[in-house]
Amino acid sequence: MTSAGLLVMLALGALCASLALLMARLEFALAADTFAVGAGLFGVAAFVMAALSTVRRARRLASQR
Amino acid sequence: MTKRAARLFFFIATGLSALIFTVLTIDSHRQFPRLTNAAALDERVVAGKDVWHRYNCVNCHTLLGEGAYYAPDLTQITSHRGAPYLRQFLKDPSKFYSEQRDGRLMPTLNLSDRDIDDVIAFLSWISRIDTQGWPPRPILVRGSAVPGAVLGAPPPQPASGDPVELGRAAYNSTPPGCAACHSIAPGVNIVGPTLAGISATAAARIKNPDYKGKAKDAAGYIRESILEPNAHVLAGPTYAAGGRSLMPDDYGQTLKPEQVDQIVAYLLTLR
Repeated sequence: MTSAGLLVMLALGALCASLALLMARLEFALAADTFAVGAGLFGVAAFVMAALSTVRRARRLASQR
Repeated sequence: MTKRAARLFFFIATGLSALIFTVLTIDSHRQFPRLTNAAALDERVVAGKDVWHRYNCVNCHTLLGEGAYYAPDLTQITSHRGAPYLRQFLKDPSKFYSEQRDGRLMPTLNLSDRDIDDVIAFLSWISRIDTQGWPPRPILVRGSAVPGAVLGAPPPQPASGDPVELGRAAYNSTPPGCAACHSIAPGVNIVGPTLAGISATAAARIKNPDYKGKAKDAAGYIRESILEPNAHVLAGPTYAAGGRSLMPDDYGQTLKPEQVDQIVAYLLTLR
């Protein structure tokens, strides 16, 4: 599930970033800012998710030894 | 969400993002000729760019925010100062500034007249590039940062439609960039003479037998000075050279008639 969640987070981050640029081009400042913040949050969430997944996996491997 | 659905969502969203990026990139490239004013790129501009590089101007100055930060950004210098002033300045910067007084270190480059015209053509082309507000806080020529001036930005719109307020806003904006050269503080001469008390000064000046213009009153004198700076030329180390005023002489084309009226109305209020 973690890798599926990570894929969704990354996809949403990329989508928000490109939509932020598109909104900026169309001069919708508020929408552009909102998408840019969204892209940042999804990026951070993906990073945290990957980090947690790595720590959990490391602990699991350590407990199996 | 199943792993298969997540993967499908990932591919579709990433593909859509890539498509948007591609379209925006193509759109940006389509706009470059208009934004960079590419139609005005002629051999003089290119020769001016060669002069710019030959004399390593970028080692001290910036253009479009790029370069060294020892000297002012020159992106908008032709609209701030005007070609006549720049021509005289580049011939001998030491006539305009004292190193002891102003801390100026601009060397005298001994440029030929042709080099000077070329580099001004280059800087003039640069000034017409649509940078969309970049750099956000232009580095202004030293001495031009008059309190309240918003050079490099479009004029703020006063809440009221008062011509004096509109004139004040125009005065402190670029273009026309009046505040880049004229102070409104008594006795403070930046490049052009101070405009403190210009109403009284103008009234006295038109009565002087040496006056060569056609103005009949103070408002007419100020209007004439803006639109025809060579009608009556004031002597001064940075005011004129060879009997010609160093003030830009194209405000008749670049300013709207109502803007001239508003600036005149504002200047008449200066005591």
